[in-house]
Amino acid sequence: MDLSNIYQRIIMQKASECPNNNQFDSDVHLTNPTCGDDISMAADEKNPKVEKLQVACDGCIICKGATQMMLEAIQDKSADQINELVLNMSKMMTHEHYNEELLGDLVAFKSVVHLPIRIKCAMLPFKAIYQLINGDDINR
Amino acid sequence: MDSLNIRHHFPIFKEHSDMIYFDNAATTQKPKYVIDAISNFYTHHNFNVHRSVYTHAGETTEMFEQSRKNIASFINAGSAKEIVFSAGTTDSINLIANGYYAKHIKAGDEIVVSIAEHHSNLLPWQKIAKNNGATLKFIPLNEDANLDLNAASQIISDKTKLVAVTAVSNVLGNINPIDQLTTLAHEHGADILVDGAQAAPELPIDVQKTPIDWLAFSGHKMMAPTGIGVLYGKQDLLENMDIPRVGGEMIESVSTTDYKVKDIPYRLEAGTPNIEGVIGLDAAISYLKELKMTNVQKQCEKLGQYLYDQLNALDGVSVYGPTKRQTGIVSFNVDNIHPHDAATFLDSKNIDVRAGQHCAEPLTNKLGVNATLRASLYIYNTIEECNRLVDCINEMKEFFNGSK
Repeated sequence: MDLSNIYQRIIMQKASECPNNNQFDSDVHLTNPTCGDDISMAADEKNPKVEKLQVACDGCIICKGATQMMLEAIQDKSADQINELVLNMSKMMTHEHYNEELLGDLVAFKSVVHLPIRIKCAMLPFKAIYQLINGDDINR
Repeated sequence: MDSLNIRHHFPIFKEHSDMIYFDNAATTQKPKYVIDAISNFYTHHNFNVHRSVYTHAGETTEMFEQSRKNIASFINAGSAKEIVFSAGTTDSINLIANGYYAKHIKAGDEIVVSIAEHHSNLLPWQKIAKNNGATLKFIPLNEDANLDLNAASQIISDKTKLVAVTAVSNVLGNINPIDQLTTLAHEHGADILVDGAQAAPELPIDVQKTPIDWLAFSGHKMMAPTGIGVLYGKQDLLENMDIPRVGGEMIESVSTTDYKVKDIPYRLEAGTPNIEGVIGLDAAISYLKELKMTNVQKQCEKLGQYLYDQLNALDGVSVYGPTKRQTGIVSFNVDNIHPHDAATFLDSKNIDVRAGQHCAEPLTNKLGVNATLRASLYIYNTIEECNRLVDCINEMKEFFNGSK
């Protein structure tokens, strides 16, 4: 296992930029109970626009890196486009055909599939945004 | 005891010769002696117990009941009747909670646990407290991260009906003062239940010298197979337990409308039991007896103290729990590296450690962390393995933080 494929520079850098101030009432709060990854999100009137979105994430590099990179990826995207992004991220994690172009920098998480136990770390922010927009879990 | 001398008893270390296995609090590896006992059972003695008249089944029943006696003797139970087989510690504690305390705990009663309980010795009591209108109270830790006995003597009162504590914390690795807690509980007319999941593999246990009322432990954490556990209960308590399951094996006679149950422990063990598990647990216990539990304890303590001292000497590493170590369990964190990232790094170096909350969330919250790393060592681990972990932690700091 080559760790530098998993802990790519971009993921480590983005993890350090991830917001971690959870002084707000969250609409969605998700955790990975075995490890303690913890994410909260809140939005005005279900508006998923980044500038109206409040996010706090505490956890591992994979989870924090995924949170920050997701926030950057969803800028200016509609709810449908975000759902599409979440679906493709999920497909990448389950070895299914996915749209590489649509994922952009998030393709950096491709190697996480080799660490099945860490997939839930990478997926936590995507599950959270999906719940925030749709009010229920992604059914996959 | 020299760990290298027994390492070759464990086939898995031949299979994974470069592996450093430091997750023994989760489950232990099995010596060939135990694997052979199970294989021998299926090769020569695979017959059902307690129900047939033919010789083969009679012999298997004898092996099964002899195992019960050996397990009783391992914890010095007064009688083999006090040994009920379960699926493991969680199962044992649930059986006790649902079968006994669900009907004996009344509104206003108090159940006392420690803040360092594994969820398996917390959730059943939360449930009983909620259902029965009782209060759940927590014994805190003192400054040395040991159970605060002074606080315990304030918390345990005549309202207390049960004190349920672990003998060894699966996170901090300290041994709790079960002797004193037993005296305290009994002075107030309360029962005491001991979660022995981490203690049974490492420490001598004597349920008569320390007259606890209930003890629960798991086979797989002491070199026996998964799916087998023990519920020890004092005879009068077991006799007052509701029967958890009805069906085969546990009855004297059955009519179309009614049934008469057998004596304990059989009436608490409906259905064909986990025979291979019992045979495997018996083998693990005789392996441990051969090593002597006092030697096992010394070895785990020595390894735990060595690792603690090494980790404690590193910059940017926080080690949790008392400075004086008593078992092989050592939990720690490395500054600015999430335990999950650390565990993945160590995994790439073929070192198996646990990262997370170790099923003890109230305790990790109390420690002010959202997770820890845990290295839990057992008799076959070595000082060289501890040194290798320390070297890898230094490498890891460089990888993630760019500094040693």
